[in-house]
Amino acid sequence: MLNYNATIKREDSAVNLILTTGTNNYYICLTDDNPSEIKNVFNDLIIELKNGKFSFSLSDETQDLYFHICDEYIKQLNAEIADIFSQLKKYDLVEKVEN
Amino acid sequence: MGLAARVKEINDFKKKLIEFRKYLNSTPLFKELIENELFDILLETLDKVRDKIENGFEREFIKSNAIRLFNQLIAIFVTEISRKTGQPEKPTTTGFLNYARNRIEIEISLNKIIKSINHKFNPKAEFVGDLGKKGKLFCKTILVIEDGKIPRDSELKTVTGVNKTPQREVAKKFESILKDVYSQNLFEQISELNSIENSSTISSIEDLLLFKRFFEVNFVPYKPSNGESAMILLHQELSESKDIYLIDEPEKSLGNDYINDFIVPLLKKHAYSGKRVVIATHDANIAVRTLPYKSIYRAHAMNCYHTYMGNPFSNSLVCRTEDVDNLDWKETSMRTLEGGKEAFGERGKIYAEL
Repeated sequence: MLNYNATIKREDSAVNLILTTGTNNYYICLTDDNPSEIKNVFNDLIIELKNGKFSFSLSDETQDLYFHICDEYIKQLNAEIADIFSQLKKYDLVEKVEN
Repeated sequence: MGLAARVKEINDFKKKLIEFRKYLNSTPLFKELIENELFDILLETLDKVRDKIENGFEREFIKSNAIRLFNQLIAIFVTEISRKTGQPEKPTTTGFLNYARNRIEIEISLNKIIKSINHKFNPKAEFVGDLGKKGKLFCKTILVIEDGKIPRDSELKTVTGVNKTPQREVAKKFESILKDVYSQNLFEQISELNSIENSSTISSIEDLLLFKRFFEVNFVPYKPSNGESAMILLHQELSESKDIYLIDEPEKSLGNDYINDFIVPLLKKHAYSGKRVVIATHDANIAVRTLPYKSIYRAHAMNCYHTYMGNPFSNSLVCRTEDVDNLDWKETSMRTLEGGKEAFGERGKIYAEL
């Protein structure tokens, strides 16, 4: 199983949780409500999952509210990713054989 | 496997086991074959298995529902706390699980539909009749499922009578929906599918079926003439086993050779095997060569008809309802029937042998 990095990008205009899978970066904005963008990220994550199971680890030094929210979010997301991967495997929708 | 899925599977297994037990009891042959003692042991074992499964089902059901109720309880607590404190609820999920589940379900359904659409049927050829020197005639049926790639001007016809345009458009659309199953355009694509004119007429794969039926001789499409069509139809009807055959002028549109070579032998075969064959005919070949047990002749008289009955053996035709003279079977047949002297010549030979 691959372990990808998740980071928090704090800017004055917006704060984003960045999920990095290989060369792709997926942005989840923590300071704006944009369901459409979240759905795009989810779609891409499902497509990535078809190539193999992965999880995210949060790398961040600042112990602020965003860190705690993202830490919880990543834990929950990893559990849901594992569940969805098992479903993809069950229905033979995985394109690559899991290592 | 999730707990709910396990409960469902156990329940399905239990149902199948009960059905199998019922089936065993309803088949006396099986009991007879394996003998009473072994049969009782089998039933006893099945009952034990059923008891075990029922216990297992109960356990799994309690486990599954306990978790569901516990989660429901937590959800109610969270909602109530939020309501009482005025603070928004803390999310318990990222939303990814439900979102992905829905999309996966859509992909599974689409894959199933597209797999069905891509199914190929082998053409079916049924023997229809023998056209003599031309060869054997087959009726070929080609069955295909519209996949959106079949040319508009093809000779294929729809099986269920739906229009071909929505058929083609709907079939084509599934591929593009599948391409967008993990994109924001998915619902746009589904709306486009629903907006195809008359798309509602296609509710199953059966509505996408197309067929073509044609005749073939030596693997080459062939169009039988009217006479050949009559031959084929008559041959087919006579080839089927029936108790009684009522045939009206089988000689119509048929050549003498075909009557002699195919129809007369079939009629004779049915007569020999005790079937009742009633034929209305003007043809001497049929009237004589089929060796009729009874000939019925209806003659026009002054303002009425007389009905005569007789047979070639007695060579007479008798009217039983009116006081009129008997007729000579041969002379009347020669005068009424078409077919030349050959048939009557043969008649002499056949009846002399009898």
